[in-house]
Amino acid sequence: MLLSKNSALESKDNEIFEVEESIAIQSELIKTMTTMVNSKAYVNERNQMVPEARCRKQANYHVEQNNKIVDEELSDWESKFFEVDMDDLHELFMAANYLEIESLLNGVTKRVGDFIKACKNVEVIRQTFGINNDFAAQQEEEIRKLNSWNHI
Amino acid sequence: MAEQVKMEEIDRISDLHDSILIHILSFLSTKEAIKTSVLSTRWRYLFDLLPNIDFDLEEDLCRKNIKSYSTDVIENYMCSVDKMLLFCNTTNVNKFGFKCWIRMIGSDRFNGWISAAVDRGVKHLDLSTSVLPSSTLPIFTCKTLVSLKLGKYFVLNVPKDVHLPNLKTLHLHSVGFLNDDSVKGLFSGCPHLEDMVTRKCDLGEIRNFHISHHLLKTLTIRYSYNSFQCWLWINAPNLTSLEYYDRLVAGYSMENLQSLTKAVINISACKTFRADATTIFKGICDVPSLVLSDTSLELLLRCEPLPVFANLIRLDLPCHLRFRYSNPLQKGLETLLSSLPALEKLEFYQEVLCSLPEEVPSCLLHKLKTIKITNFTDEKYCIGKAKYILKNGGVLEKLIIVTASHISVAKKWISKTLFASARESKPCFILII
Repeated sequence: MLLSKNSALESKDNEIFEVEESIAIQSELIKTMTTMVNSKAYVNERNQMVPEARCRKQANYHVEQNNKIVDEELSDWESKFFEVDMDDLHELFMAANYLEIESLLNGVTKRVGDFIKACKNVEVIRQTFGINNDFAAQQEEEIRKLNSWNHI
Repeated sequence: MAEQVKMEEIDRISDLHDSILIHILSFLSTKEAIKTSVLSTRWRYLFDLLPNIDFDLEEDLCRKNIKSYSTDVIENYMCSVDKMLLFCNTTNVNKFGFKCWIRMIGSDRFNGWISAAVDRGVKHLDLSTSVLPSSTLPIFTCKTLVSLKLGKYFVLNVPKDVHLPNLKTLHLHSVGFLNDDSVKGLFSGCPHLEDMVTRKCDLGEIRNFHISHHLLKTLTIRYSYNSFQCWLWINAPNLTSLEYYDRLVAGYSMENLQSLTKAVINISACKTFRADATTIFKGICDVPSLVLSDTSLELLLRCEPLPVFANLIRLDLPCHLRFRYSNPLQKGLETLLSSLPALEKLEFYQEVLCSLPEEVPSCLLHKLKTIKITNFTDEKYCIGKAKYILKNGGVLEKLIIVTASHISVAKKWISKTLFASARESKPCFILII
């Protein structure tokens, strides 16, 4: 194993994670920061503990297994990683968004897309995500008419 | 999904930025994404911003019977397409796909869609419809187009000035050509073309199908119609893969195929054997990997003289029907082997080897490492073929025998006989399937 440079990342709740630099720079934010400050980056984010560990786990996994793993295994692992409830998914999303980790963001958005696909109809989508229907009755009727072929 | 999703009380999703929501919607089909427009005012116009627009009428309307379509529903559907293409013209379109088999769209409307897509910088077009596109269709002068797939009943009326500077992929299915010039114009107007597929195209009006292109990498021609009066000309110095599945046409010219790494020549049964396929084989004689149908093999064996495939390393003969009832005078694979000095890997149906040459082909003595024989039976002459190979295969590493389905009981006996048989290459591994 090559001895690569390690970055120490400190989250807002004062937990310090030591990560291999090649993994840390998967986050665009950290990448920019580390070019400014040498080997330490201070991560300022509320409630980052769990997502931080998860991010690291996934990034670690990706880097280590990059050349070895077959696509099938990776997608199996990924689907298990994202099989979490809405709250955790939201946390993962906030982390991915703030830290600007593209692969994590892709995984989260795909999972949300899958949730929507699995909903039988619009009402179920609203319930799943807590979306409030703020249409006037006439507006809604208009939209349904325009899309009558789609059985909205 | 493993867990039951609980009902959310706070709406955290609608607050997300447009680009994130579009990203989420991009994982849905166009039809599913359109449904979200009725969720709330926040969601109403989001789907308009989707970069990939895919409509498939038969699939989206889920109806099997053509009579079950009502004009109202069709019109409603077309309006949705209008909306996505025409009424939101600030964002770019990445892909526009439209499949519709019924003759219910006006060509003006269809042209309007294509023009809108072109104006919005479309990169990928995938169209299958029986609408007769007009000659003013801007498909052929779209600077942004990277892939163009046209299918089903398009009559390709290629204008004089084809200008598709970024086109890399061109797939034409069931397309007809008006004349020879339209073919030439098509290729000269696509300077960066890399991948071309034609399938079931009508060549009735063509006398010379000229495929001359300096960058073309892969070419696949499948089952043309009315091609018996047509000449096929291929001149493609960068072509690495050629796949030809068709009946013989009037004549061939194949030049500059020095980059070819794989060729599939699958000529289907022809009624007349006066047809001459020599040019095809001469044109591809430097290829390292070759797949031939049984008709192709028969045509090849009629070439005088037999071309030498000096660089051929891998040969695959997946068909055998024409060799099934072989007569003693029929020539087969054994005649060809002497022209394949570099052959290392060979796959064939046992019927295709008609006799065992006294003078052992040099490739069998010095080069062949892997041989796979299919449709193997327990009859004496068939076993004899495997024994011959084992006896003379000087560097043979693997012999794979796939038995014919009706003789699975004889497998053990075949194994026993072959394992006991004399073999020139001691480390040779025999596998009976």
